[in-house]
Amino acid sequence: MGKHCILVVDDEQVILDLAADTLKKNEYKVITAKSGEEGLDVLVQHPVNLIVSDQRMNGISGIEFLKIAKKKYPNIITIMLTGFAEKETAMKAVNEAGIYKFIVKPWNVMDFRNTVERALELQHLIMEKDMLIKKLALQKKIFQQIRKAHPDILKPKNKTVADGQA
Amino acid sequence: MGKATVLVVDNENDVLKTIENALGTISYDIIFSKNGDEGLTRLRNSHIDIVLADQSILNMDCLEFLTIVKKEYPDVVTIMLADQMDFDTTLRAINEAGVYRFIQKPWNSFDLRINISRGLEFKNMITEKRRLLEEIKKNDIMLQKLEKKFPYINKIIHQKVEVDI
Repeated sequence: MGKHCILVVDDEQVILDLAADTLKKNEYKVITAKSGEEGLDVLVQHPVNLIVSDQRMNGISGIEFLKIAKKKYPNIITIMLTGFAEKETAMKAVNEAGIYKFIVKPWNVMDFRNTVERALELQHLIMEKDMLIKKLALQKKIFQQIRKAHPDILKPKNKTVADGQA
Repeated sequence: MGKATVLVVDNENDVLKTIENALGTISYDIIFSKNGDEGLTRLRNSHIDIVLADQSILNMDCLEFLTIVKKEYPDVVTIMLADQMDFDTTLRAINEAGVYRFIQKPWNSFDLRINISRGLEFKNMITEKRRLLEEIKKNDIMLQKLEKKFPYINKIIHQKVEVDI
């Protein structure tokens, strides 16, 4: 598997540096952006697995940004960074914007890394599941075609097995 | 999907009430064990989806307990309520005990809920993946058998087709 790509969005350079430090040791490819708008540009140019975005930023808010990103790229996992005071907003956003989790600043390094690892693991599983569903659909199609072209082949006994895949 | 069962292992009885309040009993069946030994007995006798263990359980080291859980019940997701999240403990817990998540104490309801639900999501995803793989394998075997018996269908079987889902 190649390196996972994580996009970190915050309008404070200090936070971007800290987040990059926290993550780099775990060997991810980290791209940073200073606003939601800039983040959306990055998404057009790079395949990103995970986004970590601050909530309070100039321009569009973190929630807005993550909502748009999730809508355009549903397989991306989104994590929101938030100050303690904005925790309420963050909690609402989890359901509303399909956010995987939020991380409260200042974060615990181990917790941040564990959260990111688990999020990427889930993303991997989602993609694997998509692939398996496609493969299953393909097999179903093949069974249908066999049945159509050679109706005698799939005897009742076999047919049951094939139909069971629907 | 039915209710998920959470096993809480903690020395203090009143934690159960707090956790019940935080998770709600509509979506979860929550059962309680006061130490590691009791927890293992529970695991033997009931279907458990998630184990939530306090770092300072009695009788047994928490990591030791969680390692046994992971070894004997690999499908169970384990979460540790941690007093401290130092580098060594965390690393050991992840690498040796296969702990899914840590929740630092004092925890809040929201953190607990989201961690539990992400843990379940992960577990369901693994189960679903396994089910899909089994089905695909079964189909593959059947197609192989059919092809052996009726070689003329190999064009259908090995076609390059795109599937829309």
